[in-house]
Amino acid sequence: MSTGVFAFCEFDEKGFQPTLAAPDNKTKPLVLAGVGMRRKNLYVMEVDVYKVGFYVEPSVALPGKLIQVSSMMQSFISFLQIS
Amino acid sequence: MYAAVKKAQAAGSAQLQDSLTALNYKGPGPMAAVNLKFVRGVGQDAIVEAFNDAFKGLDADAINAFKVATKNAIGEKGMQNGEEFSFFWYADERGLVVLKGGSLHSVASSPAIKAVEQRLLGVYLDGKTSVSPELVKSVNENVQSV
Repeated sequence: MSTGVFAFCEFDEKGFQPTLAAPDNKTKPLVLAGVGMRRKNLYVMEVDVYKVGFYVEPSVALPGKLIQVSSMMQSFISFLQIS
Repeated sequence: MYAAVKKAQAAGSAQLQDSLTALNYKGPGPMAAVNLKFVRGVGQDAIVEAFNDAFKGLDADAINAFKVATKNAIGEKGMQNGEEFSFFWYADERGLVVLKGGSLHSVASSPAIKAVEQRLLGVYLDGKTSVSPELVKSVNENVQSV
């Protein structure tokens, strides 16, 4: 499971790290928002060329939404623990 | 981004790259990045020339600046199986950064470069022309599910 904005989204990360450090390493790491494969037709068959991971700056992604989802999930987790 | 994406979807024109650039992000770090992990060898020229269609009609100097930075980052040997490099989109004058290992090359921002940056984002996120529809689907699902 990823950490960060998309922490509660279960998806196959295809080997990508959940975060990507900024080039200067001084700002917050970006968080993984999605993954895919670049495929290309080569003669008669389709071949994989590269895997692509898309990252976003956490505050850009979902301002205010993370807290909302976190608290909702926390309530759900608490409920499961009590049950 | 969530609200912007929802708004775009409601308008029937959900383009993630438009949503991102419309945010007018002013933070100190990169706004977004793509990381490309190669699963087969691809030559340096093949990689940069693959963007020609996407950049049609844009300023020739800006396209050339992008190609030079990308070529320098990738290196003469191109990308080998298992290697990776990344594009970073900044909101300030740093513009676009291309990074492969410790090799960092940037394209200084300008209106012409911004147009290249926008098209480059579309190469990956445009719902109609993305090189990886699987990526667009993945991002959409993750954004929508939060």
